[in-house]
Amino acid sequence: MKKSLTQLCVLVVDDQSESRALLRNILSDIGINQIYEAQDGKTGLAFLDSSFDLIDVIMCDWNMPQMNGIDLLRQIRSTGANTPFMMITGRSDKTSVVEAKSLGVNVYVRKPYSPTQIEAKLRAVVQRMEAA
Amino acid sequence: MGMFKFKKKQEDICLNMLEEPALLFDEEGVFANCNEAARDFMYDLGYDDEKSPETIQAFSSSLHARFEVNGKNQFEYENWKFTISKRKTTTGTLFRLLPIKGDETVTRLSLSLNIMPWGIMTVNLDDDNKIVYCNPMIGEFLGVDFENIIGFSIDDVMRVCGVEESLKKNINDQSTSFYDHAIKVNDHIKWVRMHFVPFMGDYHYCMIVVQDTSHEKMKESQFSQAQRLEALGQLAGGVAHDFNNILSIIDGYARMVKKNSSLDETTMNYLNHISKAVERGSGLTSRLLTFGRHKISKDKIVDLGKLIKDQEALISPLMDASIALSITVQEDVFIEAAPDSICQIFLNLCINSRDAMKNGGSLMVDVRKEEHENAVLEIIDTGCGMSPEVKSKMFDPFFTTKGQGKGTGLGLSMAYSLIKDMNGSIDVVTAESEGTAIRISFPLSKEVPEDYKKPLVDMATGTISGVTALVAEDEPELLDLVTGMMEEIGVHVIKAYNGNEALALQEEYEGEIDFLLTDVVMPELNGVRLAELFSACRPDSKVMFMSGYPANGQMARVPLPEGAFLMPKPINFENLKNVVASLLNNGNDNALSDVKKVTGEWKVAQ
Repeated sequence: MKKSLTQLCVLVVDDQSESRALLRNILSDIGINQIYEAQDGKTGLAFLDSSFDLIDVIMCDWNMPQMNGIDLLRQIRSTGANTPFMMITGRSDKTSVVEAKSLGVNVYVRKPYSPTQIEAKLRAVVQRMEAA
Repeated sequence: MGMFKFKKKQEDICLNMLEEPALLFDEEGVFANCNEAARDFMYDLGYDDEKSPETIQAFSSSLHARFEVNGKNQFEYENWKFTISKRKTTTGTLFRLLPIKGDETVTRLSLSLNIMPWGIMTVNLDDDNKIVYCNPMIGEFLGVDFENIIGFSIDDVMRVCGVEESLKKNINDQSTSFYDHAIKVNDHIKWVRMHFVPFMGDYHYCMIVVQDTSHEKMKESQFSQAQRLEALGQLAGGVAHDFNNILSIIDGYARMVKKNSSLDETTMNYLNHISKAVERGSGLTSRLLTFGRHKISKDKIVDLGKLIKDQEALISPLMDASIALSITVQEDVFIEAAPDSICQIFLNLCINSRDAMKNGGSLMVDVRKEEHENAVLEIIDTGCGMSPEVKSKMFDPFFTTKGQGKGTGLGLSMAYSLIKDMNGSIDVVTAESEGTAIRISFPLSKEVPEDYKKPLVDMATGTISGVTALVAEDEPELLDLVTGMMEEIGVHVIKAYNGNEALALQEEYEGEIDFLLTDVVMPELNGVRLAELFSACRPDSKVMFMSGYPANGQMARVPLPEGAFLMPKPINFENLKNVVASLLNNGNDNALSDVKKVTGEWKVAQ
C-alpha cells in the first residue's frame, strides 16, 4: 500500500506535553493530520495493542516514566512488527545512537531538532515503506 | 742471589694464600714481607699513601712494637676490630690480623639499618622522648642532618618539619600505632606515615619507622579525583539530556511564534536570538558529554588539533569576558594519546591561565607539527607569571598558590604525570607580571586513525580519492552519465533517482557524504527543497545544483538560495572534474568560475 507523506498516521510518545504539542504542530505544518499521542511507553503500548494497523510511524522519546522508549521498541519488535520507529531524544552521544540502532530504531533524531529535520526523516521513512 | 729470589717468591705465594692480612717480621723484629690483604688493609687505613708520610714499614713497626712491648693482642681501628695471632716461623715471626667474629652481626645489623629505605628512630620515654638512635634515611626524609638530631626531643625535630602537634600520645601508646602527616622538607611538601612500635619489657623506648607516602597519597587523590570526574560525567550526561529536551521546547515554540506573519522586525530579531542561543546551548551539551565520558581511556590515535578545537565551547564559558581566547590549530596533527587525559590536562592549564589573569588579558592556544616529529600544544597567557621559586615547585603534588579550599595542588602534578605516561614533555617559560608560556610536546603518530578520511585532490591529474557524493537526478540516463564521470575522477557515488530516495539513502548511509549534487527540477521533491532537507540532516556537507533548463530554453523559474553553486548542463567531463575539485577545496579555486554562484533569484533563461 502506497502512502504519501501527508497520509501518514503517526503515534507520538513523549512524557512532556509541550514536546508532544510541538511535534503535533510541526507535523500539521508538513500536512500530517492523523496524530495520536501517548504520555509514556506503557500507554503507547496499550494504544498499539488496540489499534496497531492504524499507525504508520512511531515517534518516541527515550527517557520516560513507566516504560521508556527502548523498552517500548523491544515490546513492539518482539511481536514481529516492523513499524518504523523514530527515536527523538535529548541523548546526543554516539553510544546512544549506536545502541538504539542496534535495537531496531530506524531513525534517530537528536533534540533540539528543526522542523526541516523532522520532514527529511519522515520522507526517508515513507520512501522505504513504499519500497517494502 | 738466585736462590734468595726463589725463596722470596715462595714466601709471597704462602703469604697470599692467607685471606686475612698477614705480616712477616724477621728475628730482630724488622718488617720483612706481607701479603696483598695486608697491603690493601694498610692502604685503606691511609698508609703508603702518597699523601701520608708514614709507610707500610712504619705502620708495621708500630704494630710490632705495640704487640711485643705492650702485650696487647687486640687491634682496633675505626670500625675494624682484630685479634692478632703471632706464630714463630723458621725465618722470623708471622702476625695474622683475624677479624673479631662476634661483632660481625652488629656490623651487619647496623649496615642493614643504614641502607633501609625507611627512616628509623628510637626515642627514650624516660628522657623527654629524646632521640637515641636514627638511621641516615631519617635525615633524608626529614631534611635534617641525621647525626645532629640525636639528643633532641622528637617533638622539637618534628616542629622543624612544620608539625606542631605532639607525638607524645602515639609514643606512649602500649600498642603499635601509626600517624599520617604532611611535613615540610626544604619548602617541599611530603606525606609521611610514622609507625610507632613500643619496646617490650622494661625498656622504655619506642621505635618510630617513617615511610614516605607522597606517591601513594597522590595516587589516592588522583583516584578520588577521577571518581569525582566520573560521577560528574554521569551527572553531566543526565543534565545534558534534560537540557536538550528543554532546548527543543524553547526552540520549537520560538519557531511557532515566528510563523506568525504579522510580526514586526524587532520581535523577529528577538526570536532569532533565541534560536541562536539554543544552537549554542546544544553545542555546549554535546561538549559536556564528551568531557563527561570520563573513564580511564586507552591510548589511541587522535587528531590533537581537532581535540583541542572541540574543547573551545567548554573553555570559553570558563573565561572571564576580559580574557581574549584564541585557539589556532594545524590540521592532521596525530598523536597516540588518551583523549580524556589530553582534555583534562588542557582544561587544568586553561583554568590556571585564567586564574593568573585576574585583570584580563589574552590566552593563546596553538597546536602544530614541529620538525615532522613532534606535535606541540602551546598555551600562552599574559597573566601574572610565576616567580622562579613558584616555578620550581609548580609540578609538586599538593603545591598550590590558590587559597585554601580553592586548589588541590594536584592539577599540574597530574598533568605532568599524564604527559609523561604518554611519552610527552612539558616546558614552562614564565616571567613575573608578564605571563606564562607552556609548551607540551608529544611524538607524532606514524599512523592515522582508522576512521580517518580526508579528501585527497590531485590537482595535476584531477583525480580524487576518499570522497563520497550523493547524486540525485530523475533522468536515469543522465544519472548514469554523471555517476560514470564522477567515478572516473575517483568519487564514490550514491545514486538516487529522486529526492525522497536521496533522503532515504543519506539516512541509511553511515559514513560521511562530502557533497550532494542534485538536479533542480524533479517530480515529488525538487532539488532546492531536497537540498534544504538534506542540509538539515547533514549540516557539514556541501551542496551543488545542476540544471538542464537553460539549454532546453524553457522559461521555468526556480528560486535557488543565495550563494548556492549551480552547474549548467550539459555537463562536460573537464568541467565536472574542475568543479568537484574546487568545491572540495572550499570553493577557493578559480575552477569555480565554471559554476555560477547564485545571487538573488536565479532565472533559467538568463
